[in-house]
Amino acid sequence: MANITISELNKSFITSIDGRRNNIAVLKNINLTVHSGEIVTFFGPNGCGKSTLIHTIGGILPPDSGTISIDGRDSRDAKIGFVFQNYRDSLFPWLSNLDNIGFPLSLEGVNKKERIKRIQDFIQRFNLSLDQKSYPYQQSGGQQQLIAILRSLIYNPDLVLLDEPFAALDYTTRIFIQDTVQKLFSETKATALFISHEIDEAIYMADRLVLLSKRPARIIKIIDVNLEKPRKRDILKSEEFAALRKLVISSFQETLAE
Amino acid sequence: MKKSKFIGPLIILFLWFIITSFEFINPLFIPSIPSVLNSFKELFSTSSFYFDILSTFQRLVFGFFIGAFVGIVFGIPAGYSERLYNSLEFLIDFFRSIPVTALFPLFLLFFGIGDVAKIGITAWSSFLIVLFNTIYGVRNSRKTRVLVAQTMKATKLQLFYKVILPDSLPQIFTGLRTSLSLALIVVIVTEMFLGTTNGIGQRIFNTSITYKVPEMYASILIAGILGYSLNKLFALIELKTIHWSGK
Repeated sequence: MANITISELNKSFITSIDGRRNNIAVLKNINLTVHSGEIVTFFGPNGCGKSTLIHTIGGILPPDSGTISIDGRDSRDAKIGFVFQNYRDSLFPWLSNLDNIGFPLSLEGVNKKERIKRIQDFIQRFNLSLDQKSYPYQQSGGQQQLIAILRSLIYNPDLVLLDEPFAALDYTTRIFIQDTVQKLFSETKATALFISHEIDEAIYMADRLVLLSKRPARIIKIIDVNLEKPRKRDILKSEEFAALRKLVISSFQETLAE
Repeated sequence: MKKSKFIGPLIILFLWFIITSFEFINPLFIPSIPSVLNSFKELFSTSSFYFDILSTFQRLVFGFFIGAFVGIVFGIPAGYSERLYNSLEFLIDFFRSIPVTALFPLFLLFFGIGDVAKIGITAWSSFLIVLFNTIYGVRNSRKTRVLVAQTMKATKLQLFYKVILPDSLPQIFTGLRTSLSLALIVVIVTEMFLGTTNGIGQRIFNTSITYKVPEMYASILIAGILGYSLNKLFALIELKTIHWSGK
C-alpha cells in the first residue's frame, strides 16, 4: 500500500543491426504519481514499451535516468507482486496450489502452518473456491491465473504489477477473473499498475487510465475513470462508459496519426 | 492393461516358433524356443549365473551413481555461472564426441583389467550425459519464474534451491534416464572385452565363441530383462518425483 512517484524516467536499449550499434529509446520522460490503493491501467500501441515500463518500475530493468520511489524508497527495495500473461511459465508446477500462493511468504520465512492459515483466511474472506492440494497444471487457465494473482497479493506487497494478465483467457473466464480481481484489489487496498491491450478492460479495471504513445513511449493523456465502484458488468453498456471509450479511442487515434 | 500390448510380442514368438519348427534357418543361429527355455532353467539352477547377474548389476549401479552424482555436482555450478559454462563448453562438447569405447584402452592403462576400470568407464559415460543435461536444465530454467522470485525479493540462495533447481529437475532426469540405458550397454561391452571372469556380458561372449547358442540367447534375454526393469523402475521414480514434467 504505497504512494508511487515516477519522475523523469528514461530507458533505451542498445541493439546492433548489421554490426552497427543502435540506441533505441523505449521510454521517454515518464512522470506519474500513483496513489495508495489505486489501480492505474496502461493502454498503448503494441510494442510501445508498456512491458518495459512496468519491468523498470518493478526494478527488474534499471532505468537510464530518472527515479522510481515507492513510499520514499527505491523500487528495488519494495515488495512487488508480479502477474504475467503467461501463468504457465510463472507458476511453480512442482508446488501445490497452496504452496504456490504461499511462496512469497515462504521466502520471508513464514512457517508452513502460519502460511496455510493466512491463505485459508484470505480464500474464505473472498469466498473463492480453490483446490488447494492439486497442482497448477491440473487447473483451468482461469484458476491458474487466479492462483498467480493470489500469490502476488498474499504478502501485502507495496505494489502489484500486472502485465496483460487476462490476455490468454477466454471471454467468460476473463469476465469472472476481472470481477474477482476488482473485489480482491479494492478490499486489500492494493496499489496496482495494469497493462491491457483491450480497451474495455483498460477502462473497466481502472481508477485512472494512462494512454501511451508509440515507441518511445511517453504519456499522452491520463484519464480519470470516475465510474462508481464496485463496478458491475452493466456499466459497460452505460453512457458514461461509452463516453470514456470514445475519449480513449480518439486520443489513441491521434497518437497513431502522429 | 490393454490387450493390444501383447500383439507385438506374440507375433515375434509365433514367428520364432514357425522358423524354428520348420528349420527355415539353421538352429545354430536361431535355436528353438524349448531349447532356450531349457537353458533358462539350467542357468537359474546354477549359482554362478546369479553371481553373473549380481556382478553386472553392481558394476552398473556403482558406475551409474558415481557418474550421475559427479555430473550433477559439477553441472549445477556450470549451468549457473555463465563464465564457467563458457570456459567449459568446448571441453564438454569435445569429450562428448569421443566414443566411450575409444577410451577403453586408456582406462585399461590406468586402472588395469579389474572392476575399477569397468566401473570407471561406466561412470565416465554417465557423467558426461548427466553433466550436460544438468547444465542445460539449469540454464534453461524459465526466466519468468526467476523474475517472479526476484521481484518477491528472494535471496540468491532461495532463488537457486526454490526455483532454478526444481525447474531443472526434469532435464536432469532426462540425463539420468539416458545415462542409465547407456551405462548398461557400457557395462556389458566392458565385460565382453576387458578380460572378466563374471558378468552377463562375459557370459554372452563366452557362450557365443563356444557355440552354446541357446544359452547365449537366454543370457541376451536376461540382459534385456535387466535393462527393461531398470527403465520401468526409473520411469516410476520419475513419475513420483517430477510429476509436473511435460505438463
